[in-house]
Amino acid sequence: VFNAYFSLIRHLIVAYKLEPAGSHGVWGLDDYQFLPFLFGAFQIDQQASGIKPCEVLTALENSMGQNAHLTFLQAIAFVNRYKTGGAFSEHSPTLHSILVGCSGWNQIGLGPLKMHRAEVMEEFPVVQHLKFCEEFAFE
Amino acid sequence: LVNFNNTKACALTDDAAKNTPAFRSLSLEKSPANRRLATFIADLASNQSSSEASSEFCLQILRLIDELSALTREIAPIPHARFGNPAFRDWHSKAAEKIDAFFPLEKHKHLAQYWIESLGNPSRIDYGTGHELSFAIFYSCSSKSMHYWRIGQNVMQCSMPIFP
Repeated sequence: VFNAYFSLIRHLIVAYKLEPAGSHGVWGLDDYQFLPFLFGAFQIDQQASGIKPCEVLTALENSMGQNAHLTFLQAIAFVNRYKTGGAFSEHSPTLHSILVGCSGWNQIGLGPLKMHRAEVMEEFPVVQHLKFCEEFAFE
Repeated sequence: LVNFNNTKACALTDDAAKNTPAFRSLSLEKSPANRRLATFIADLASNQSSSEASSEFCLQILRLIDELSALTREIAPIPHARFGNPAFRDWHSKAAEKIDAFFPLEKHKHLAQYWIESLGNPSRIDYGTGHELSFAIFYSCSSKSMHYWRIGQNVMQCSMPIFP
């Protein structure tokens, strides 16, 4: 379900050229999405698919083949397609350094998990519009 | 749905104090809502190995997402616009109608609201992690209301279906 949602959003971003809301520019993972990287890293970690973080960028240049269903790779492939100004390491240095510097997917997933807390859920501009209900109670 | 300004935390605080970002961030941080969402996301993250949408509820969501995606072909972007194509507004209002109709019962309308919020902002024509968060809230709350769909399956199992 989440993967379908992520695909829909990417589709909208391309179709209607949505502006990035509250982006951290090159300091963030991506201008638009966050959870695909978080969930995607744990997905690879748990499925033990065999692709290594440092192999992701080379996999993009070839066809992704059996890895095409992976959430993380779909998100990376989208960034790579959508941002055309310069090399991957130039337009997305944060993602690039994670992929080059980390050895395991578990490690890659834990980073965004902490980042998500700090940069999304504790960030005032992001959460100021949240509404609460019975199941999602404020107090 | 309750706005932040209408919560009890705000009722107890004077106007000047409650409008500061620091107050809001701090009170949200301590709220059960925040804990619930953090747990939900962590649970999803550690349950990524299952790969099929197992419940009727999930299949219905997937079907509607498909429809929303197909709707972009009917509502073509207006030519020559740069960032923020105004055709998105038409798409968004049509999509909102469909989602609203997806939840016929009045007591589930707030779920529709969360889902609609997760599709980006129609007046600013933008999208960001706050909208993404709204989808997580929608899904997390829906799973609590699952009895409505008469399906007792583990929600985690349908978090990440393979989607071609």
